[in-house]
Amino acid sequence: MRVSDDHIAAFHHHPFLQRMAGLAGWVLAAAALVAFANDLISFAQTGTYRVIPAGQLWFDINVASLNLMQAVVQRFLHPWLWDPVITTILQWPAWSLLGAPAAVFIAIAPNRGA
Amino acid sequence: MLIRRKKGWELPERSATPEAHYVDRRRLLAGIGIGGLILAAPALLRQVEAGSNVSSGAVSPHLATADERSASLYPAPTNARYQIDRLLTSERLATTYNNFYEFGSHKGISSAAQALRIRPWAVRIDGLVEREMTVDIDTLLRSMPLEERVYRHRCVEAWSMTVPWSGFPMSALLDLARPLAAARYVEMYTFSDPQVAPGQHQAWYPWPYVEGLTIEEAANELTFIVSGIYGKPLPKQNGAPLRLAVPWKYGFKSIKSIRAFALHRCAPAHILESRSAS
Repeated sequence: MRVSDDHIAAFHHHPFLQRMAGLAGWVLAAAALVAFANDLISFAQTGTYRVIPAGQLWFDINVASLNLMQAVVQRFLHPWLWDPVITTILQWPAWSLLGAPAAVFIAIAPNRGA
Repeated sequence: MLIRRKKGWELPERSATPEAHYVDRRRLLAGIGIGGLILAAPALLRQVEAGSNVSSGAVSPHLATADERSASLYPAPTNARYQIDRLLTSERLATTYNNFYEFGSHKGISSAAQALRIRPWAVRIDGLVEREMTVDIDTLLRSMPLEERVYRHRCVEAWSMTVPWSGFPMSALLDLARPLAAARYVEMYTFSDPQVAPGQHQAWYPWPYVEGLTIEEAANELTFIVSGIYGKPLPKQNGAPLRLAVPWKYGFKSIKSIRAFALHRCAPAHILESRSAS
């Protein structure tokens, strides 16, 4: 779907959506910060910097949902969408995968200072 | 008096995107697209290569045989004790509707699994046994009492099949290895080869897949090590060259393409248990 100026205008007329975007952004930013801190703690303990991939974080938090998501994507959408597309994304550092949408959500949230 | 009523579609000046960003938006989107393609390129190439390996195969996946060297062992004599009063599932369905997590969670596994090389194939038996050994699959198959049994194969996905397996009782394998009195569990390991099994690129899973049975379950007369199906060598998508069949458990317990058996004092952790829990 093409995001037109009308869509953006419509978004700006929904304060609730804007607030939710801001909230999601800050929650994701906090999670990204925790993931990054985890990397640093691991570095301090082992002496080697090993980035935790997003897939690893998902596996550690809830392996059943990871497994279910793969089955749903591969069986009902397309096998390639999981592997290589989503699998490649899940190899990225957890903090970056959480941080990128956090930055977008915070950017589109209402600017209190403006 | 001029009364200015703000229209619903009007936006304040501060909401306008800066001109420089607006002018550059196409370049930004193109950059994201190109960046994504570059990051996904190695994995895409792997997929294309795997696809070409499959398409160059001389036999269609559902008819693929394990290897000609063991083909003369089939069909094995039928064991009349293990028959089921229901229709057999068609061979085509049983050899194309498969799960093999190493190759993905979709139902196109019968094609994807053709990338697996099953000869040479060494089987390791070690741990708490009198006779640790590494044995070639064809030597092992020729030394075992092959027979055909009809079992019902139930999947946790709410489907089942009735399948004529060829193979040998696991108790025969235990007799060969002679477990020590301290052995309480039998661990089975599948292969580990991310080059042919794309699912194994997901490094967060503790590959290779491991399954376990208690020593009593392993020695049960129903526990069957499968090397053939429908009177032929086992196709790759069904777990060639060696898989487990435990008819009183769901199918995911029936580990495929077994590389090793190890007898231990403690139970192994399942792949779907988190690392922290194990």
